[in-house]
Amino acid sequence: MKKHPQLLSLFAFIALIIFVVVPFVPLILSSVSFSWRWPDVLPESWSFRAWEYVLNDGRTWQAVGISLWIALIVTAVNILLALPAANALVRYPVRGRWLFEAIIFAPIIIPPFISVMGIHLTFLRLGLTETVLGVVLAHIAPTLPYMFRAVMISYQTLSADWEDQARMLGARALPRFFHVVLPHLLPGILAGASLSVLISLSQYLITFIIGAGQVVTLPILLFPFVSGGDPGIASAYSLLYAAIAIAALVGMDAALKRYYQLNKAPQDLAKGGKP
Amino acid sequence: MKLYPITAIGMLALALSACSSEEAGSATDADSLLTDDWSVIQDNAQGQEVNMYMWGGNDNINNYLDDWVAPRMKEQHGIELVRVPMNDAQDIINQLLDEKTAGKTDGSMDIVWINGENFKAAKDNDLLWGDFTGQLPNFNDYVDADAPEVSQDFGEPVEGLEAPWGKAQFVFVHDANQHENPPKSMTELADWVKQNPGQFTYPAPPDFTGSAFVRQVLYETTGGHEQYQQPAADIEDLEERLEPMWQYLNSIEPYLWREGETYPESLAKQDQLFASGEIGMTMSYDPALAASEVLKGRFPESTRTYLLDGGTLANTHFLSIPFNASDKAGALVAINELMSPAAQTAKLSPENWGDLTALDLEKLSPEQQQAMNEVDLGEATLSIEELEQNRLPELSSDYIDIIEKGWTEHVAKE
Amino acid sequence: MWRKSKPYLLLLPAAATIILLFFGGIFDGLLKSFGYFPAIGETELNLAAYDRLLHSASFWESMELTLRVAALSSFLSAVIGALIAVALFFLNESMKTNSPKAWHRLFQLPLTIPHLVAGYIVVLLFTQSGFVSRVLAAFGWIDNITEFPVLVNDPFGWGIILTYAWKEAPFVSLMLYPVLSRIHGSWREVSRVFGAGNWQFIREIVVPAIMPGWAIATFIVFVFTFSAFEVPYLLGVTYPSVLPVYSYQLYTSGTLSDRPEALAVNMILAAITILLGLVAYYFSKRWNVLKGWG
Repeated sequence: MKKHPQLLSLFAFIALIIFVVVPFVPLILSSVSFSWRWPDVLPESWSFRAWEYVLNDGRTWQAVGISLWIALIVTAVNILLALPAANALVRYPVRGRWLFEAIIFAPIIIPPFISVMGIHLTFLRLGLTETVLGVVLAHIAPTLPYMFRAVMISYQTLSADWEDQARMLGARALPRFFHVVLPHLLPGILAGASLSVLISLSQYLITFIIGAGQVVTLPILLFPFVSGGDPGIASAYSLLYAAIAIAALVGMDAALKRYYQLNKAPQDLAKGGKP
Repeated sequence: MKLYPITAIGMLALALSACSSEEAGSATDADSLLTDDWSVIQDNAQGQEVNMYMWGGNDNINNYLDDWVAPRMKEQHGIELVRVPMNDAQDIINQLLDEKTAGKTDGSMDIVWINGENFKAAKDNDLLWGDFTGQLPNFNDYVDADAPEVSQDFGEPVEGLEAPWGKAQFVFVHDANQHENPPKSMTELADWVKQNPGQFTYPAPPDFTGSAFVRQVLYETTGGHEQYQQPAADIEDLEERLEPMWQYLNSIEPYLWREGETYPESLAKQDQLFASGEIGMTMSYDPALAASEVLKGRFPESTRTYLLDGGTLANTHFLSIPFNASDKAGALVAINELMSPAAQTAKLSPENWGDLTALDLEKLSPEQQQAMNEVDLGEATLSIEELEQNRLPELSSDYIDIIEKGWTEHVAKE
Repeated sequence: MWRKSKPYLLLLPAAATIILLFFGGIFDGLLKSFGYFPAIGETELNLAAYDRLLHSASFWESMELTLRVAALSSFLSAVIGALIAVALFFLNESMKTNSPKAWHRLFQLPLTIPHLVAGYIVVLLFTQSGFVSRVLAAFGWIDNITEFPVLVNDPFGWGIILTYAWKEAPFVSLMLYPVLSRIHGSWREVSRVFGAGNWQFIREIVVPAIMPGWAIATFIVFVFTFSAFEVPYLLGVTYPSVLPVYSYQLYTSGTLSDRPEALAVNMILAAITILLGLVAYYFSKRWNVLKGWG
């Protein structure tokens, strides 16, 4: 480690680039290739046919819109559900807390499609299939635990003193919440929201079962192409899909940074990891 | 703090109600449409939104519906045709099955694109609306309803439950610059294979095309297709009858690509081998596919397709209307329009799709025939007449199962 | 009264939502797996579906495949994840002036890529005519397509395993890296004071320190890959299929009579994942790995 740090880190760098960046190369090439026969490493000629199809098809943007819309509603609902629950578990003595935790964290362990297959016919009877509402309801279980966890970590670092002080200064419940509690929780909420959006965006099976073809999100549109359809279009859709997931995350991150800059708050907390 | 739960629930309700849109379609008793005059149906169809559920993995097909069909449907009939992309026709059947179980009467699927196994499953479970094809003017005018490829779908009687939309036919693909006289029968193929060792192979069943090749061998080596028009269970000596087919396949095996030790696992893999010149021949159940591969630059310019002298397998794909379709009048008009000579001619063009017409050429007017014949199918594709004259009917799906399992037993393992 | 019940009221919306939407669905599935299916006139409870399942060869083959794929995926993720963590560590060492954060983001990229896209990336890379095969051919290491092994849509499940290795390794490294940088300070000190060699340090300090987190991260990957659907659906073969895909195939077979079996597969999957989850929870509590999980 002392002798060849330069060489060693160069090697590490190259290995990491190969691992992370190179896999995207064929995806990009395939989306702009015209004739790409084995054993050519690079396509013989190029074409934007696939991108033209993907970007000009009104369905693409509709699907992007619906995917993001669902992710946002799911996230908003998650925030409303997670805030009070996390507050209760962190700051009150709750009997049977393990049970509540087990209930709320269960969807992390048990795959959500198990529940969705079971509830499918009931949703159908209630008229919830083929609706955005039904899909939103199906997305809540797999995402809520992550939001809950992120908010819980934030609550753990919120000193009860601050709130007490505010109370003694005469602040009423609502202003107290908006001026003292919420700003402190915001980073945690944003971290949870990133995960919630990301997970909602990546659901295929449960969206398909409940949306039944009428709620067309990006993965629904993409699937027929990646499972044996046109490779160029499959690649272009894949890149678009990945870009939107990354953009959603970067957007959240930027919002968080901006918040820090505006508030110069010293918090350095509440960032959850994700499996 | 106490406002929390209340606001939370309130906002939840708000958020939820904000996104529960429309969906209140009326499911009037539409069965009279099966007997109404066509003009009544057309009036009813005005302004309906017709959802067409179909496989969504091919941009050509998608574009044909979105850019060619849908605008005309809107303009000429006031119908909004909405293509709903599905991954697999089986998912369509499954969804209908659920809707039937749950008693859903105002279904979203107005038109479904199915054939073969899926049609049989739908028919067995009463998932289709009824005998509607007799109502369609274009069906009555241009389709030979008694032709076996229209009256039967992989051996299953159609009974007016679905209308033919297009046809597919098995063809062999070769590079004319390399082999001038390709083998036109299974006997010739066996000779050819021995003279050109390593140049031929077929995708391992249950690959769709590989399985069709084996059925093609079945017809030629066991004495024709007629004997298999009855259910497999009714043939007592089926095992023995199939024996010559296994013998044939095993006799060519040593001369196949890689000495038959392994077979390409899919047609896509086999096409790769052909594209890279490793084998001299491939095959397809889509007679226009080779032409489009040439257009895409994957196959050489000198690629050609051909048929066996004894004919090749052909099947038809169909459009149907589910039992609970909400816009049945619109579906009828839309299907009729999809079967019009104009729409079928456009569909035939490789620029749009390259799918064979379901119409009977002889029933078309001379102008319509001419329009269809003028479509440039690409050099690699055979003429419609030649394909038409060399069709053999498909087997029912119970044979397909037996043949695919038998292939593993008799050919792959030996 | 209000004081006492307040936390429960606060917990109610979240818990009720999960109970209703999630456990409700599982319960619904459980009833149907016992053959209770009023929609087709079946109201008697029985274990027929489980019986058929446990006696069917395809179920056990599916189970075997699922275990193999999950075990190999998590093993590969663990190894690659550790390598990434170490590599990042060295990179940080040599680039002290730069902000290391951006790098870390980059190497977590696979985590943010949707599973379907990751699966398709593996298709393009590792099919017989894929990118890797082309590169090998360009170097003259293989002469024709078939010399490249079948790694996608293969009965062994390599394509699935490769996808998970790529996607989950950064997750493992994410769990390890903080531990590494925590002991990093003591690294030099120890070697200066005791003159201990790097290897010895790694064996006696680093490995024990990262072991618990490593084990738990690997275990989480195992549980996840054990029950995931999208990637095996895309990259597997029709037969045998992993349990979630097997269940889906039964569920969509076109006859309602296969439904109880499909749901029975689901219930078995749920039982196994709950068991695995409890084991992970127990050890993480004991080793104090997952802070903030409760």
